[in-house]
Amino acid sequence: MARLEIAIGKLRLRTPLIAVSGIFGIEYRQLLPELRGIGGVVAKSVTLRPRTGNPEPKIIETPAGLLNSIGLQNPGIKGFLSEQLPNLRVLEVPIIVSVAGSNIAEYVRCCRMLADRDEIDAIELNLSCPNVETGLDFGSDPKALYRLVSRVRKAVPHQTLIAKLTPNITDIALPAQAAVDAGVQAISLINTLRAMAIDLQTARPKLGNKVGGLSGRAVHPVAVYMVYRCYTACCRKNDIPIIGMGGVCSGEDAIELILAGASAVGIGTAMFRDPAIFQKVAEGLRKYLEDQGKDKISDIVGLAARS
Amino acid sequence: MILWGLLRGREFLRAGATAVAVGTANFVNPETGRTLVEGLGEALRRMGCARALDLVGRLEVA
Repeated sequence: MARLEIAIGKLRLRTPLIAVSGIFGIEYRQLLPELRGIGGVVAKSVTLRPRTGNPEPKIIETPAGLLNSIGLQNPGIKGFLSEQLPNLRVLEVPIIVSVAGSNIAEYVRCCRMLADRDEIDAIELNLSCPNVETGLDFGSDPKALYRLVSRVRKAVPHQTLIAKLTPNITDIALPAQAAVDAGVQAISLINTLRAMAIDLQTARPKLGNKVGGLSGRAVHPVAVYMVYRCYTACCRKNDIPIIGMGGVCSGEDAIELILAGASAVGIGTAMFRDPAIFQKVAEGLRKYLEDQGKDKISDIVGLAARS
Repeated sequence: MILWGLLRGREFLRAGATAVAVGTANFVNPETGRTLVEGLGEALRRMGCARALDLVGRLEVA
């Protein structure tokens, strides 16, 4: 039988399927019976201080997608460690904590506090955050990204670090290369695409924050391309695994990202519709491997990028 | 698809577009353009706008 286990740095995942950041929090505890097939979980982004988030509405549906602007609502690092982390531990899969900030010092302080906790297996740096010094997102400014990741790398030298990249940039290979040069163990992509929807009757933006980020089925081909781009331009030659995500709703979607170069696959928006999706996608992956006569996931990573 | 196109067309005007282009939808229905024009005319009348230009950029973001 084909094996689904994978390794990313020190992370050992029983399937390559990761519940992405920002979908569920304490709900995972209630959903536990549905989550067979899950390989790892990324906690919702945490910041140094608590944040109340953006005005409502924070989430709306669009044709084949979901548009959100939550505004990094979270209880702050101390609240996360005391209130939310115990709920994630019940999943009994590796826990990756997403960290956001508005300057390098905030990221570094958060990561130091997380590195002290044994139950945290990796840190994902959410780079879709504006740097207060420049107003640019760290993820769209490769030099600032390099400085940020290097400082975090020095502050938590033994922690598995993942850089989560934004697709809101001309060439995503540039921030990918900067993150790899600064010493991350993996990169994950894509975060949401900047987007907007307008109510015709009121002539106002539908989101409380006016603009937001698009996820869901509509973004999947964008994700496939960007995984392929990072894999061929940077990650393959540096042997850095990619966690691919964006609109995955089926086993076929996950396989497509893996063939494009992803070693693991994130599932986000689709969890709202069906929390039991992990088992279905895992079965789809296993069946594909067996049909193709392959033993393991790594046998098909980047297969679409061969010359 | 037609409804989708109509809604999006008005949404683009609201956001600041002066004209709206139709591309891919023509593969599904080559008459998309005509349907959009009819729908837009009716929507403008309902909103009390004499011309499409009256709608341009009328997004309220206060």
